[in-house]
Amino acid sequence: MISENMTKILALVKLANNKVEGRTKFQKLVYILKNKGVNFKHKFNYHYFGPYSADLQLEIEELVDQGILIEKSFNPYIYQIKEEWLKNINTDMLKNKKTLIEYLNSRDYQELELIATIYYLVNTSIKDEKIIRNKLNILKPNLTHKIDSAFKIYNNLQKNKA
Amino acid sequence: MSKKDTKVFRDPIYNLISFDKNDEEPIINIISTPEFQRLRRIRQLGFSNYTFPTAVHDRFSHSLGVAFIIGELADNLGIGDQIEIPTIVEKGEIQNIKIDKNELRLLLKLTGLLHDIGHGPFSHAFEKITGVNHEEMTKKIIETQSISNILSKIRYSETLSKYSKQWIIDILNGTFNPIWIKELISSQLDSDRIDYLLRDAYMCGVTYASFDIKWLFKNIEVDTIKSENDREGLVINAKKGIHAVESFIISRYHMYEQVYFHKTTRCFELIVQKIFERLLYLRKDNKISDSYFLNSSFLDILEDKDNLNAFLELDDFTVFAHIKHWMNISRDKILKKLCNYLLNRKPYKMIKEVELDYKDISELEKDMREKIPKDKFDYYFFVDDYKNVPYKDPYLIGEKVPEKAEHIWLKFENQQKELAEISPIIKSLKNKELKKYRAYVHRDYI
Repeated sequence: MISENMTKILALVKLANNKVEGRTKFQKLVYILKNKGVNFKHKFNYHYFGPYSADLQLEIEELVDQGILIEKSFNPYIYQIKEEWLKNINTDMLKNKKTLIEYLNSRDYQELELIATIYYLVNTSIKDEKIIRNKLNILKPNLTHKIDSAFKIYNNLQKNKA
Repeated sequence: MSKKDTKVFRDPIYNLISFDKNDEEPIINIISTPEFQRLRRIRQLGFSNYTFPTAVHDRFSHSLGVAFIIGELADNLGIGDQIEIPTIVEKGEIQNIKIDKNELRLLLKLTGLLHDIGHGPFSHAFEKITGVNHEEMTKKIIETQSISNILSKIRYSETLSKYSKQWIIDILNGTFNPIWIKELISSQLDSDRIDYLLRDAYMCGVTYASFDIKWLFKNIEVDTIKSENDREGLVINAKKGIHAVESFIISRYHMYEQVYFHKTTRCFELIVQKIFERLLYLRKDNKISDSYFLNSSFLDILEDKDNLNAFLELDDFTVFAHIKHWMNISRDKILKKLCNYLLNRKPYKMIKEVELDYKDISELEKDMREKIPKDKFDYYFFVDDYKNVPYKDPYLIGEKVPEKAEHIWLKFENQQKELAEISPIIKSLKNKELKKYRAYVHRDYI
């Protein structure tokens, strides 16, 4: 059964030029888009690599099991919609997010991990940028060198309401 | 030597759950709050007692159980005398706050006690219809004066008085460091799961949850997880502990199949969801009056999912009273009937169960649309999906190797490996047969 959520997942992959590289990137793309107003209904919890949804992972697997999505290789996994399905995937519900999706998909997964974590922290009611930065320093000691650029992207995403 | 002054609860799983009246005074104080006592009126397993008549235990006993077992687990970890917790302090700066083993033990027990305090009645169905998120509610309740006053006046630890509320919320948010502390309450092998598996099995009268908990605890330790940027995490001694972990996962598998995803229980969980859906539909069409509501809380939470006072007024008893009321007064036949089916245990018939391939169900759905009148269809025919069960486990229904976020790590002499990689039993449990859809129909339309 293709649920409403799964339809949106497929639209996202199609708008990402039919290629999402890596499970982490996939998870963070959905989480960031959810925070940009796309109604993904997946429930996210915070894990070591940032916001993660077991429900989303299950739906991705189900799309792979049903032969709609292809999961290629390992390290990282590459996700693509099968050619014969591609033309039938309706992207209308995400049409106004195309540029955003392409932009996010072009960033590296660690930046997305940080941006998603910023959104997660903001959602836990932390609003002060200094506190968020220090919280990132605590949670992501291996990514401190990317915090500035992640914040820059986050602030731009917030300014740009699209 | 005089005996310690303790508050003792009798418990079918651990026999005695005791809390020291001096050192663990905040635990006893929290248990006495109306917010915590409310958990006595929230069933742990929703409608499982429609299938297993004795499964009437509540979130109160589960929360006590988690507070107890997390303490036992912490005692077995062999952690050092002092633990450093990087904390955001005044003016947003980071400071490494030191606590000792006993303070950590108390912090963990408080977290275990509070982890489910935001659960509402009929958890899943209620959350779906109201939009309430129990994890958000949990944090809101911890922030209430009632709870936060207790946490800010911990006599035996100034440090915990100052930081325990912030730390507990961080642990429950998952944004706490060291991460292994969070893993003790929330991971693939945590105190929450350990308690609910043992308790649910016992209360259902089934013997599926059987694993060597003491041996498991003896063989868990905190170690550096090399493939996760050298973070500290929980690992299990592979040689000695693997069989205990395997039994833990197998217990989950049996409980999932036999209890959590039981066809009749799931049917009633969906019927209650349909009751709420019908109620909302009638309300939207102005077809129900205020007399449908026995108090304002139910309406208030429908209006505003963040209304904490209204939320705290609601429990299984309140909702059951409403359902009985609707069965008696409703002029809407569908709502009246649905309430009757729930109160008097009249399940629908499960007419189809398929694994993965939904095509058969789609065809069945078409047939049913011809049989069932249009206005009744959504209430008399429904399809359940394995994804709706809140007890999901990547070791059972996930891919061959779960996401890193959900690994259980085993430690060999010189390396660490993920459980499914080295256990043929766990590897073989990962079968697609658990990914099921079930179609149910009202018995008049079989």
